[in-house]
Amino acid sequence: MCVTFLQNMSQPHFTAEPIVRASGLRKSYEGRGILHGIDLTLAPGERVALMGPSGSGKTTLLNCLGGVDRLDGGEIVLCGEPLHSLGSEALAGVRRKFIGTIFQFFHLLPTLSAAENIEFPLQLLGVARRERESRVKELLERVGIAHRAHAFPGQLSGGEMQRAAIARALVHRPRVLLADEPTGNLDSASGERILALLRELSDETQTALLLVTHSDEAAAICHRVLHLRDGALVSETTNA
Amino acid sequence: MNEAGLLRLLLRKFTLRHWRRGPGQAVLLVMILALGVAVYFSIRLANRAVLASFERFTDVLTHETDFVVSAPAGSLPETILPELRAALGARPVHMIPVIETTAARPRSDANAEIGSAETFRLIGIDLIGIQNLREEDTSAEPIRETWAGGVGNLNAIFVSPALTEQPGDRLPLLIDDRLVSLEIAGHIPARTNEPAAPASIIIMDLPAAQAITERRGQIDRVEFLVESGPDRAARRAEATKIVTDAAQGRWRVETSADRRESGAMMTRAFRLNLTVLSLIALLVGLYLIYQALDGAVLRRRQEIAILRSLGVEERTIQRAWLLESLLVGAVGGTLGALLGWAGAQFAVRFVGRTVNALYFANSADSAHLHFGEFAWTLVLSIAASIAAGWAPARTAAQMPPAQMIGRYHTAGPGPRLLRSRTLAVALIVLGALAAKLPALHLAGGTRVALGGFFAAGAWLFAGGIVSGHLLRGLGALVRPLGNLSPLARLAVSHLSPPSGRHRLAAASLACAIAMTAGMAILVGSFERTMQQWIATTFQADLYISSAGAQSASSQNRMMPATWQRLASDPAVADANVLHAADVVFPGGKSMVIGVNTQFDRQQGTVAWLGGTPTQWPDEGEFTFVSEAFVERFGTQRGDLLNVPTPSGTRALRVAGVFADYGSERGSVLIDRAKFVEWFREDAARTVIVKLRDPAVAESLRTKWLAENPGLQIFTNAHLRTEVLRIFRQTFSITYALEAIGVCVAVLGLALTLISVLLDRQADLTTLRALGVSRRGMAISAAMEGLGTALAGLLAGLAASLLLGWLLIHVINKQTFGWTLLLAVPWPALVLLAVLVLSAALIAAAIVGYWGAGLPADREE
Amino acid sequence: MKPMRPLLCLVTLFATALAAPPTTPDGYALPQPGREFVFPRDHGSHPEFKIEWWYLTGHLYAEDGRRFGLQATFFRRADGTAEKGNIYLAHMALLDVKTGRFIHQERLNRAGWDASAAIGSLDVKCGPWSLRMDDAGLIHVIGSIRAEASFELALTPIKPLVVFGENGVSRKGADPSAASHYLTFPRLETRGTLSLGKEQLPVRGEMWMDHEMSSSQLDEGQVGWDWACLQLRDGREAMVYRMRRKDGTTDPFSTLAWIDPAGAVQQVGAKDFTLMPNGSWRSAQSGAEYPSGVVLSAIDPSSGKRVQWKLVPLAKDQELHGRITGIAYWEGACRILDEQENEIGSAFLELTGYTGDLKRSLR
Repeated sequence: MCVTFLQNMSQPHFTAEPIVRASGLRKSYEGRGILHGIDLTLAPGERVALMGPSGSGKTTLLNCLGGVDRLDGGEIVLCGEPLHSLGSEALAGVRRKFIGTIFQFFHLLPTLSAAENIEFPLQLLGVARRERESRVKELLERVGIAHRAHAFPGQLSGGEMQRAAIARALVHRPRVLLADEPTGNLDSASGERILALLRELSDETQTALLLVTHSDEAAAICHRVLHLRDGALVSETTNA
Repeated sequence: MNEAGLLRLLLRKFTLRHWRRGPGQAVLLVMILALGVAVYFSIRLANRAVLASFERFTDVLTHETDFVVSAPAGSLPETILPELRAALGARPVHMIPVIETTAARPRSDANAEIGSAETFRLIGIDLIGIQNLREEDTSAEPIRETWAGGVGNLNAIFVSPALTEQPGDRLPLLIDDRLVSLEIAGHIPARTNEPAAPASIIIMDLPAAQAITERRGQIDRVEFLVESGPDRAARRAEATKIVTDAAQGRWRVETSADRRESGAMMTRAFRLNLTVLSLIALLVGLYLIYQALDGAVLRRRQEIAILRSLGVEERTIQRAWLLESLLVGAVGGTLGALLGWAGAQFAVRFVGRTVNALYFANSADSAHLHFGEFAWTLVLSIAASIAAGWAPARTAAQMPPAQMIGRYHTAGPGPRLLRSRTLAVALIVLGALAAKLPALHLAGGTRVALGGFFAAGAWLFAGGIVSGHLLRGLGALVRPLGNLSPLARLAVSHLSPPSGRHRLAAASLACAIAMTAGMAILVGSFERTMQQWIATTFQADLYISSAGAQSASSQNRMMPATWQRLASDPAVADANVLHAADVVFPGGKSMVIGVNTQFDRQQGTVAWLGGTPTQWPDEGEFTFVSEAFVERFGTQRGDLLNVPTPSGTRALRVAGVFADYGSERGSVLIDRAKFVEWFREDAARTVIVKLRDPAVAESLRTKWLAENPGLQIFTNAHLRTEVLRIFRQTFSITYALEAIGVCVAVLGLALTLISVLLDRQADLTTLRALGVSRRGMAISAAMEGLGTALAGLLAGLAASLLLGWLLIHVINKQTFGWTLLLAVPWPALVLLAVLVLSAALIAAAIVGYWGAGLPADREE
Repeated sequence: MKPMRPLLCLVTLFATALAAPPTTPDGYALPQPGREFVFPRDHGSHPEFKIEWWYLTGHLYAEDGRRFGLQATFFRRADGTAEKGNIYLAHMALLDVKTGRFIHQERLNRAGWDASAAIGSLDVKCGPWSLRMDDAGLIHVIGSIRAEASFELALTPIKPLVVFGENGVSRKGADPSAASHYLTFPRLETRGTLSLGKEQLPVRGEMWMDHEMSSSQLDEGQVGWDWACLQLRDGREAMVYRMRRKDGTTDPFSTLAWIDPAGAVQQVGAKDFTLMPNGSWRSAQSGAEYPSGVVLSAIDPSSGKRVQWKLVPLAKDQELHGRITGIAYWEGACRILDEQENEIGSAFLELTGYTGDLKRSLR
């Protein structure tokens, strides 16, 4: 790993049109500033890690980019959609189509089986049943839990749950994958396997990945590492 | 810190803060309990008010009297008074002879509804002798000269200050069949610290009242008040014994307690039914409090685990949660009592009207807040709340310290009792066995269908269990629907298997619907039966009675000259003259009716049970008894019945049993001629007329009404509608209670969904992240609510069929003695189903929309 | 002189005539001179008169010497408005001298099943109370007071019946119709049982019984009266009444009558005696201020000397509150003391018209 400074920011790796372009993002809660004018771009297939101490605003930034949380100021254009000016129904539509999300605590829907969880985003998009079944099957196999397809979340191990969650996040072929500490709740062996899976899948599908993490292992799979402190980007590291 | 201090701290820092943070739920929870409590409390207060109004007038003027002498049949001759005084010798006892009748305001419209005219109890009392009671009223300044102007003036009356008319005014009244105008000589005095006399009481000097009712020399009862002083109890017992021993069958002696008890007893079944009905809402509320608290435990499990890891003991946690239940109970109970007090002002009119129609004249017009009832209701509310909070508090206490809070901790499947198939089957079987038990017979002829009530309870509970299984089955059945829509999949996934919350919501709805629909079946069957009975019974052309006859308890009669004039009108082909007298049989009070049985025979206007009789009362010593009489007194066809009359007891053979849905006290039919001879009473209650030409009925009615302003005359069609109207009016309070029960259940369903959505706050965030819109979440919740409601509805309707059967063939039959034909009012049930489902759908959608807006449940 | 006359009868005052007319304007009989009384018929009721009363007072003693004052009175009043014509009022009062406890009760009934007075013999009832003379001439009194005391007494006249007034008419005022027939048993030997609380006491003593009938009583200007009956230890009795006028003077028709041991009556008018208050006592109950006993000053016909006898109440509070009628008066047992403070007999004293304008409160 090699550490550079801000002036070396422009890496030649990703020259395509950025899939996410965020500028001047500001957000505060009850008068307390969380984000102070953050600029960020994400290109297709690019993996960016977002690191920083607790309370630095990582999750808030992720939620704003995912259209789950509202901005106080700034602009986000995701796949050409200006998130900052969309209504909640339209935002839901953007999430449905373009975004996949992975959580630290997996957040599988407890009353749906693993396969049903994975199938769910496709249903939301109105994908035909046959198509859904084949994609779910394919992803189950790809993440390696095909044998656990009909198990309910309560019956799965942490690693299995996160695999299912990754499958659910990718099943509808999103352009952006937002992951919040995807390995934070896993033992190190499972964590490593999940990170490898993420890298492979993002490479395969050219899905941009924004990864919030505390772990250097997780950051290591990314092309860039952004360091956030008190709601501002303070440095960027590029992985070789 | 001691435990009490710790509990206070937990209450202040946790419980109350949670309430403040989520005031909506706290308010909803308290309101559900309050509503349940309010319904119960209002019925209790209304019942109490109606019973209290049964107390005798002397209670208004002075102390409650000690005992009362009245005739077993008809009235008492005044000649017994000196005899009673002689028997008592020098013992200081006040004797207060009383004559009582009903009087009504004259109608403004000949077609007015029965019961619409204001009815009074006209009480004749010796206004001179009554002044001796002032010697008993030692507490207050004696009232003087109150009755001035009332003595010796045959038209003077005293009224309540609550009446619109004031002293100096004249009050027109219908007494028997005459219209009289009486002078208001003054107000009925109220004792210090006692409420004023109710507006429905009118007092008149005894001789004047005897004259105006043409009952000179007769009294209805004598009230006895043993003078105050030392050894009053012993002197009272002695006086009671002397008067009892002197009776020799000529009179009956009842103590005040007996008498109030008999009023209470007469209406006990009715009041019990109302109270049971009023408990539906509270019962349903209990289900809901249970799950609201259980949900709160689930949501606050992290906090509990932290508290435990900080060293708070299990016991303390449990107590803190019980304390929270207690608070809910206390706040809900108090609020409910206030609400119920307001509600009682309405309820009392319904209850009073029904009691008036079925049992006795009463003057209840408002219900007072009763501290004892309030305290009892509060205790009930708190006890119920604590009972409902017991299991959640245990769950909370059993939360291990510093537990790794599992993300997939979902609401459990609910109490095992509510899932046990074996229990459901056992309950159904037990209920069926209990339904076979005979009624419990209490003194005074009251019957309580204890087995029936047990069966109802058992089947209701079984219905609750079934609803849970139904919910599960329903969920499995519609699971494939999940392929059609992700929202449906989501909704269905919550129902199969259902959580304990869903089961409870479905069970409470099933309970409310079963009772509501069960009652609807009873009422529907009753109505159908009534219609058939009416068709058989009401076949004559005109029905005539005093215009003062406003209810079953009215005493207004038609004087012989009046009815003889009508019956001899050339347009009349045949007339049946009915006389009636209250009679006390050894088992309780009933009524003897004198009729022209030939008329009935010719017109075929009696609905016979067990076949048309072969012997008739005009042919010998025979009588017919009503079905309710058979049920109350156990007298069967062919038995010899001893009928007390003023001229001695008469033994009559029961030759037939007829249906009579007008009275649950039962009645005994004898021949008119014998009635007149035995009861020495030729004034009639009703005259039924068959015309030579039925077409002239309306014009004859107009003519007769003009000639007799004191009469009310119904044509056949008009009377039939009136009977059905009164019948429906009688049940109006029942509908109100059920409607509230169903409302509470639907509200409860909303509360369940709120609780469920709060449990699922994390999932909601996930769904949002997955791109489910707020509308989508509302739709999903609506489907979930609809499914739950559907299971509750189906189980409830199924149970209601059983309950309907039970109400008709066991509870009603045992309590009132009426045979009814089972008729299921499908349109009403369909309407109920549609209403419940739409209400559930709307409530769930609203809750879902609200839930989708809950803040994200994410930690950094 | 009994207080209930005005209570029961709202006097109709009419123009003064020199001689009494035979009836009142509303048709009731007026006392006529020279009336021959026939007994037992005249012990019974005289419904032709508007008002009539039987009035017993006396002193009783238990075996242990405990002393009691007793009053038992029955009034009949024709009520022109009542259907059955008559209303009966009765009073009972008992003084337990030892404790000073005075209990009393009023009872009001219309004629009929619970109150009556026979014509032709003495048989009067009001509620559970009764007064009756049997065939042997024995008078039976049955009464009770507020369930605290009850008594059954048998009374034997030990002196003959006395008729007061001139020629059988006892005048009360200038109006000739303000008069009564006034018949008295001045001394009745009394035996019987008194139940007081849980005690059953055999009692004996002496009573006085008045029977008066009248149709009109108070005169214009009279506010009340003080009346007393005296039973002296020397075998004589006296009856005295002083009619009080508004201006505080004594009405000239006030009377003192002496009865000698043989029963002969000697009557003197207002100018020959005085009956004056001796101190005062205020009732907490009614607020009225009564004389606390009286002093009788007159010439004693047996000695021809003026005597000054004090009637001293055996208890200050012997006021009847009039819970029903609303009119209070004082009627109580007294001892008689001569100038040397020797007790020379027993008396009953009646003081009326001290609670304000008696007539107005009657209207």
